[in-house]
Parts: sequence; C-alpha cells; structure tokens
Amino acid sequence: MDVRWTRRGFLLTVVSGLSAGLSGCVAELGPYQAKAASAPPIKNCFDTLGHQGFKPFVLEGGTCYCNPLPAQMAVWRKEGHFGDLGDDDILQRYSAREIKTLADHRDCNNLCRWGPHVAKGGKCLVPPTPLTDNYEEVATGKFKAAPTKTA
Amino acid sequence: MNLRKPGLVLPLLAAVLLLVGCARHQRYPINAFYQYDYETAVKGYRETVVEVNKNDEKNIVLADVHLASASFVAGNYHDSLESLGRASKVMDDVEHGTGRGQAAMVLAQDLRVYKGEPYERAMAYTYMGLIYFRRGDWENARSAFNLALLADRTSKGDNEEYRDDFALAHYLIGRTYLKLGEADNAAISFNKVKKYMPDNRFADAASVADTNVTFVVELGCGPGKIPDPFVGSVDTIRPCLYPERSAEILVDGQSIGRTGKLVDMNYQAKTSGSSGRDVAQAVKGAAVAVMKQLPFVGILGSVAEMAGVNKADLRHWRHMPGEVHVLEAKIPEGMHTVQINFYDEKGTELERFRQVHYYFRVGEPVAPELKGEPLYVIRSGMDRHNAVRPYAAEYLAWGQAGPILLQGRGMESAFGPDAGMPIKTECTWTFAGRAAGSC
Repeated sequence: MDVRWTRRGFLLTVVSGLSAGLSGCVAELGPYQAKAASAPPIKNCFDTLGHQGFKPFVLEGGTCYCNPLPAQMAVWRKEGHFGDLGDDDILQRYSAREIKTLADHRDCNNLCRWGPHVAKGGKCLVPPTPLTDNYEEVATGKFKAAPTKTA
Repeated sequence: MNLRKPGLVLPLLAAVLLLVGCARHQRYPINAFYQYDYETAVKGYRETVVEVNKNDEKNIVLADVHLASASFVAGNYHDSLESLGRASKVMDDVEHGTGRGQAAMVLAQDLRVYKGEPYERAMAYTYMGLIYFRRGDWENARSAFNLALLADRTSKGDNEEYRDDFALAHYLIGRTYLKLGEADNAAISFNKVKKYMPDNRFADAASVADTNVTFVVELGCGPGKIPDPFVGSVDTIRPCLYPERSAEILVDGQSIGRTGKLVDMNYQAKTSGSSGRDVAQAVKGAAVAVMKQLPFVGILGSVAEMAGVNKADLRHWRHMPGEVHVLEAKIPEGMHTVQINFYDEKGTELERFRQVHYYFRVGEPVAPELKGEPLYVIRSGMDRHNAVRPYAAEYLAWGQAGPILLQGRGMESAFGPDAGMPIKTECTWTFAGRAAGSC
C-alpha cells in the first residue's frame, strides 16, 4: 500500500473541506452603519403615533390614517374636514373601501387577514404597534421590500 | 493493489460533495425570525400550525408557541394571544393527565405530545399576561401571571425556592395588583422580586407611581437541549451563550437608566431539576441496552432502539429569550426618539446591537378606545438596526457556522421536527456559495 498517497489524499480532503467551509459555509459579518439618531419627517399619521393635523386619507391627498372613532371625527371636523357630514356618513366613506378599523379588530400590527396597512395598499387600519418596523414604515411612508432570496 | 487512483478520486469527490452539501440553504421560519423578518416568520409558522394540526399532533404546542413568539415580536399581539391560548390548553391537558401524552412510558419521548418544560409554560402564561396588561385587562392579566407562577411551581428542583423564583411573573403580578388597588398583595409580590433579584431596583410601589412608561427588554437566547452525556436517553439543558448582558435606554439622547434583570431563562431551565419522566426515560434507555446484550431477546432491544424508545427528547421552545429585564421611567409627553444600547458582561457597549426607534409617543390617545397600559417590549439582536443591511443580515441565517456561534446557538440539530415548515418559495441550491438554481 502506498502510504504517501493516502496521506496526500487525507490532506487534500482536509484542504477541500476547509475551502468549502470558507467559500460556502462561513459568512463574514459584513459592514455596519448605525441607524441615524435623527428621525426623518413624518408622512402619515395614525392613532398610536398621534394625530398630526393631516387630512384624512379618504379625502383627496389625505395622509391621516387615524381611525374614524367619535373623538377623532370631532377633531377632523374642528380642522374643517368633511363639511357637514355626520359620523355615519364619514364611516360610510371607510366601509365603501372595505377598510377594517379598530371597530372590527385590534392589536394585529396589520399582520391580520386584512393587512397590510392601508398606507401599504392593504385594508387594515389598526394603528401599527410602536417600536416595530411596521410602525416606522407607515409613519415615514418608506416601505422595505421583503427579502426575495434566501441567505 | 493500486491505490493511486482512489487516493486522488476519493478526496476530489469528497471536496465536490462538501462544496455542494454545505452550500444548500433552505429557508425556514426560524431563519426568518433570526433575520428579523418577522412577517415571513409569522407566515411560515402559520403554515406550520396548519400542517401540524393535520399530521403531527405531538408537536402542536411547539408550533403554536413559535407562532406566538413570532407574532409577539412582530407586534401582532392579537394572534400571539390566540396561539398562546391554544398552546397553554394542550400543555395543561397533558400536564394534568386529562389529554394525550401518557403513552410516553412505552413510546419514544419525541413521539409524545410536547407539553413544555415548567419554565416554558411559565413564559407562555407570562406573555399572555403581558398582552392583557398592555390592554388594561387587569383581571385576565392577574390570572395569567398566577398561572405562570403555578407553572414554575411544577419545577422538580431539589430546592423548594426554585419553585417560586420566577421573579418576572412576581413583578408583573405586583404591577397588576397595584392597578387593582391591592397594595398589600403588590408589596408581597415585590418583596419576592427583591428576594430573588436583589439588584433589581424597580419592584417598588412608590417608584412605579412616579412613572408613566414601562420597557420590558428581552436579551439573548434561551436554553436548548442535548442528550445527556452520561445517560443518552434523557435530555439535558444546554444554556445558550450570548454577549448582551444589560441594556440602557436613552430618550432623545439622554440616558434614562439601565434595565434591571427579572429572570434568567437559562438559570430557570437548569434549576428545573429531573422529573419522573426523566427517570422513566433513563430506565427505558438502560432496559434497551440490557436487552441488546441478552441472547434471543437482543433482537427486541434492537427493534426498540430502532423505534427510538430510548431517544432523548430534544424539543424545546426555540425563540425563548435568555433574560428579561425591565425599566420604568417618567418621560415627558410628546414625540421622542428611543435608543437602546446593549452591553456585554464587562460593560462594553455592543455597537451592532444598538437599536434606535423613532416617533415614540408619550401621552393620552385621542380616542378612549385606544387606552391601555404604556408597556413596550423590545427584543435584542445583532444588526437589527444596521443601516447598511436593514433587512438583515444574510449571515444571521440559521445553519451557518459563523453566526451560529455568534448567536450562541447551534450544537443542536438546526432543523428538528419542531423548527417549522420550510418556506418553499425561497429554497435555493448553491455551489461554493454561488446561486446555482432553485430547488
């Protein structure tokens, strides 16, 4: 038996294994940049963020995604929106678009069957949960695309 | 005999196999979870729950608690509560013998319905209580925290104190008692927190009264399981290693303090002790070993071994945090930026763990329908707020050697029956790290 070749074979296997590990199995940490400490401007408002005086989204050019609850509708009227419309008429504007509000469900962070959030093209108007990505995305109007490929 | 050719061909073949075999990445909900892609994790675990309900009833609790974890960290408390409700029902049924699971005396451990360890059951009820507490549903919160404490009392540790040391639930039930106007009961609960977590300065009725926000911070990763090195037929706890040991919260750049630890899940797991189940399983393991040595009976031992009767049950809740901390604060009304810094055990900041959350609002909601308790849960994670690759971090994929070590995970099997259904659309084959086609 030729011992030299066996030893060489062993070495080749080890080297191949190591190179396989280095090229395909072990990933480097990659670059890091801390998230900016200053917040970008708010584009959309909603209940958990607090009303920012924007026009309700059911009106042309509106970016207020607060729920049409009695107290909020009173605020909108004070701000001069909806004219003489009563609460039922305002609610009709939302139901006509098949929007599901806090009156239907809560606490879903728009991951329910009616999601995503209306600002993202869905039918769910439940206010996003603070300290989540969805909360910031809806507030800024900048939506991350979900990853399309695996690591 | 000429061994020259095999000496060359075999290593080359091995090299090719290594390159292909190592590079296949299939994405599971658990991958998505540790890449902070919670929406995908929730979808994957939802499919898992449906599948497990149809074909794999023994893992129903794990499917539900994993879905609950993903939903919880995604901010979907509604679904999280639903999943936890289903899981806790099965856990209780099995624990009290009213349901399935008693067949474990003859079946392999991983063939029986998983009921969760005492610390897992305690955590499931604690999450339920947290959701009720956030909603201002004090009665249900109290019930859930009481059940968490009851679950901890089923710990089989030798020391009686291990059965009542789940300080997280003591703290939260104390807070709930204050809401219910039961100051005496709150004081009893807070005294227990001081007993078990003497460094925690937050369990105090007077200090709570002067605050308007509570942060609950989850750090690190919870315990896993490996076969016991001496008695391979039973499982033993493998603590998870993680670097983050404390957290500091800053509001608009100003520190409002360090968090105080309320529970260490790895410690809870280690002090659960051995149970009757463990003894029975050890006996099964020994019996199979003896049977295999006996003439004529040996075949039965081999059959039992093949059926996995003597196999340790390594299933566990894979998304458990390592520690849970709390910080109460008085923050002025208005909009704030909240930053959370994490530190290692030497007090050095772990920069890549830093989180920055914008538009944190303190104040009464316009609509009374939205009233609840301002309690916020934050989970730590490396590169979660990395601005370069915000959608995380390919290297955080479960199953890759480097990040497994960085996450303190990995000697266990990555893809057990409880890890969730593969996310089929995202399965790719690669060769030497390069994409080479879809599966």
